[in-house]
Amino acid sequence: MISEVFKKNVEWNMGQVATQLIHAGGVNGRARSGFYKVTVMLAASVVEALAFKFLEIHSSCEMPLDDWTCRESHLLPEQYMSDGCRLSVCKRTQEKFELKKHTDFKKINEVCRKLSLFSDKFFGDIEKIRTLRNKIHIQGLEYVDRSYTKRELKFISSVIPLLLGKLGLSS
Amino acid sequence: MSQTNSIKFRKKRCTTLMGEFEKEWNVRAGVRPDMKLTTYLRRKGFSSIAKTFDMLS
Repeated sequence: MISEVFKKNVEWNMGQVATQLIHAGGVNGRARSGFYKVTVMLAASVVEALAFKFLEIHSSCEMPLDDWTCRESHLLPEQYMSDGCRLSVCKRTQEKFELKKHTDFKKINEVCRKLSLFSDKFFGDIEKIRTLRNKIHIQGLEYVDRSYTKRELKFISSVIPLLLGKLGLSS
Repeated sequence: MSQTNSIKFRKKRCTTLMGEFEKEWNVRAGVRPDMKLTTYLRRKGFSSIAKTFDMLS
């Protein structure tokens, strides 16, 4: 069900989390916040990987329909314009969701909820983790992002054993 | 080894000690080397991370 390689990679990332926590214990203020930020990103990436694996083992379920996609787009003649833009016609299709290696975290979480693999509460928790993880994209932040504490890490790490349990790795 | 002992052996939990962990990751936590990593994490308030290590081991 879960490969040794995957398990070892999860273990290695959790080892990194523990290492950063030890470092955080030796410093104060901004430096500590920085170490906690690293732990938040590492732990969130573990959550994403476990959620992916969880959906992967349920890939035989009847998958929901994916978003509409536009195929075979053809431009209309230039006289058909709208607000200065050329118009086109296309063939719209809506296919079943298919899990791929690059399927994003948001989609995985949404599909798990649609399939009732995640409760609404669990979905909400994973969404919060995804939002925290997305703070790695600092270009999108509209505020000064400084304060990371053990609170965020404790929240993220509380979800990891639940996902491991869902994957059949119960202690 | 009897079957019972064999099962016990397989179920034995593999625990990481702080001394081993510090050596492997080149960090100093300032605790006894024979303390379990999971005990250290629990004492620091990270019981879920400790549980994660327990589940993975």
